[in-house]
Amino acid sequence: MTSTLSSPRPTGFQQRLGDELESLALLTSVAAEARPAPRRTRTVRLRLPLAVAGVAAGVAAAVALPVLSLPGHGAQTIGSSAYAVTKESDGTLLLRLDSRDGLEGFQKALDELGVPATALEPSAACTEPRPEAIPGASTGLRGAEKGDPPNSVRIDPDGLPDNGHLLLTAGFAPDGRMAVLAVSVVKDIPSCLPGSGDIVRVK
Amino acid sequence: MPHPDRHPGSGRHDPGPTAPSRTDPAGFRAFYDENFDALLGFVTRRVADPHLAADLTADVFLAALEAADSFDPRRGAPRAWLYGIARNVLSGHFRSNARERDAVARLNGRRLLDEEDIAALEERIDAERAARELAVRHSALSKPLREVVDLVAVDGLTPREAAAALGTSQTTVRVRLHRARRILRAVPAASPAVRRPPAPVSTPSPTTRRPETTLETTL
Repeated sequence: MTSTLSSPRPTGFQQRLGDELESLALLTSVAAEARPAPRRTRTVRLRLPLAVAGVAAGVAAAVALPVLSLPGHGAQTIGSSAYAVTKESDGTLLLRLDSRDGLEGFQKALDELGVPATALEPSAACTEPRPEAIPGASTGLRGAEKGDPPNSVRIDPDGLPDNGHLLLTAGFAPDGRMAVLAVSVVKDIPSCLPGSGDIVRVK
Repeated sequence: MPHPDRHPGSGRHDPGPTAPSRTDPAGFRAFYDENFDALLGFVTRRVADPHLAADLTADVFLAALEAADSFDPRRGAPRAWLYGIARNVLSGHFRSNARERDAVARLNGRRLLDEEDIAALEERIDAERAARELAVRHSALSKPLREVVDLVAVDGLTPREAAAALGTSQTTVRVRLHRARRILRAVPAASPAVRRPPAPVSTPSPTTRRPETTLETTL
């Protein structure tokens, strides 16, 4: 009988597979913490590629989160329990923002994935004028697909004009949870957004 | 003769194996590290392609992570539980057609292989050739008998562990082993009645040959 002591080991494979599984376990653990009483009974299905994209990940903004890459599907996701930015293999984006706590990480994720977008919450302290939208520019907003998580939007940036930049205006409820997410295309990137009551719900 | 999953490095002499956990990343990693080699042996005793072996190994552990909440230490050791999952994953693979396999997202374990890993897997697969041939011989048995015999004679589990892996009783396992022994005694070594595709034709080396007494002495 073969002695496994002398059996060759694919040590690199063992290490890499272990790292990926540990990352998935981290996603699952935070998803379980973030949603103690899920309204939906759907279990986190690690086997579904879209489920991996939509699963909450991370425990705090200070924790470096792994970028889950599934070469077989081409999607990349950076996220936490409060947000997720997924760049699909065809270039479309699935953006999810659940709460104000995730806004900073959400922006970092957009930057890291090379998405030309700025996410801002209107503020009464902002004295800058609201940037003008580029007339006729497509936001690339697409309808939700089956399996998309709540508080998410799909965007196809291919239709953006060369001088266009996505402006994501985030409106939150008093308890910090996401209320509305408006998408527009602007030429000038603002540093802040003036507080107003004209946020149009786009989803 | 050492069993494949009882070498000193397997943790079998440790105070206790680590239970799988879906919400404890470090705990699941410990479970994974403790059982990787044994699971790899399980897979390479059943498949002869290194890339497929990597895919299935990854799929089994992924399934284990998904199902970790279902582990009950009262029913058996973590490794037996893992072998039960491995049985299901491999059965599903061999049963499904190519389109079904592609439709279900997996970890695609083969993408994690480097050249050294492939070479190591090929060596491991070669070393397990005798076990695969033994499993082919068992294909003359009905599925319930074959499952038990494979776990005991090919994977080296005790009847208790095999019972845990199959989710059945030890009595059932022993009865099936007894029946299998009677049938195999009557089956020629080179039986043409095989249900599975034959393993690559080769002569087992003396160091890897598994004598039939493995099944006999277990009873």
